[in-house]
Amino acid sequence: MVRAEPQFPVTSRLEFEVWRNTEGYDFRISGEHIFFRTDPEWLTLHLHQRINAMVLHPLSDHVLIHAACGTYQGKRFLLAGDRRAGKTTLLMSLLHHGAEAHSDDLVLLRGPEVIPFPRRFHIKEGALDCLPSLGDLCRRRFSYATLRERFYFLDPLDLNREWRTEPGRVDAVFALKAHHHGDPSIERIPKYLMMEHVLNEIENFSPNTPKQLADVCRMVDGSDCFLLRVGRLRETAGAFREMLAGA
Amino acid sequence: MEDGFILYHAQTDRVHFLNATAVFVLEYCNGKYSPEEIADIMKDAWGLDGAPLSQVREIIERLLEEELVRSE
Repeated sequence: MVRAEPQFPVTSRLEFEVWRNTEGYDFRISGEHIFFRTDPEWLTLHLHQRINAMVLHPLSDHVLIHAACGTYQGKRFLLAGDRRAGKTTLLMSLLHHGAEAHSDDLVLLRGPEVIPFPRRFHIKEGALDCLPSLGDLCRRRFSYATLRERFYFLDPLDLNREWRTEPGRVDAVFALKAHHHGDPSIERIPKYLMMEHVLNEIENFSPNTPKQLADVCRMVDGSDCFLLRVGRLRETAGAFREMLAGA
Repeated sequence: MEDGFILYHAQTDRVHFLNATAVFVLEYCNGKYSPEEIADIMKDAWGLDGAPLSQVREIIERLLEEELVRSE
């Protein structure tokens, strides 16, 4: 499930088993029966989600930020935005231009550093129109259909790229706004306004809100901040690379 | 932050995003200065042509709405 290069010591081990019989699939954790299902696609997705949740649970003292994370020309960046802004699509496009992709959905913040969460990337079927080189590869990988659309699960190793998720400071934060069929634009924005964008993407405000806010403030204050309207993909990726290289 | 301020109001559990102007006004809302006096101070501090009284009043109104200041 998780294939990124391990960066941290192992603190616990869990054994997940799926037993198939003529009627369906029996799911067990460390020998204990959890449930039985007939739909293998549903079960695989559940396993993926459950493992991610179990890994995140002991990390609840970290701030969870809904953002993609990558590195381009030695600069680590975050792409923060809502679920249809274009984070994953832009990140996958940047891979073709020498960027590294670390995570497409979640980073953990503690102190001044972020840790990209090594969940496999979720590529929407609709995004494949913009990423034609990934179409064949995606359709050979696990996918899952919701009521709205199908998602394909992919990671950088599928593209023969490194997948590194080590902690690091952020050099630039981009707040993404969807403008998908229009012209892209990038502009610097004040850091205190970037805070509003980032806070909208935090998934776990804790009772220690002042400490969390202080960590987020430090991260944003130490970064260049931009508002990126995600237009046509090729132009957006070009504008992004130009801006980050000059930042 | 470099270009503004983030204020967390623990009692209302709200986060406020203030630019430098708003913080300037907030700091002078200590019961000792009227809005007119704050506007005059701002005019001198930033070399403005005129005292920005309407802007100061608007900021004070917002600060009151957000319970960041109280009126006496």
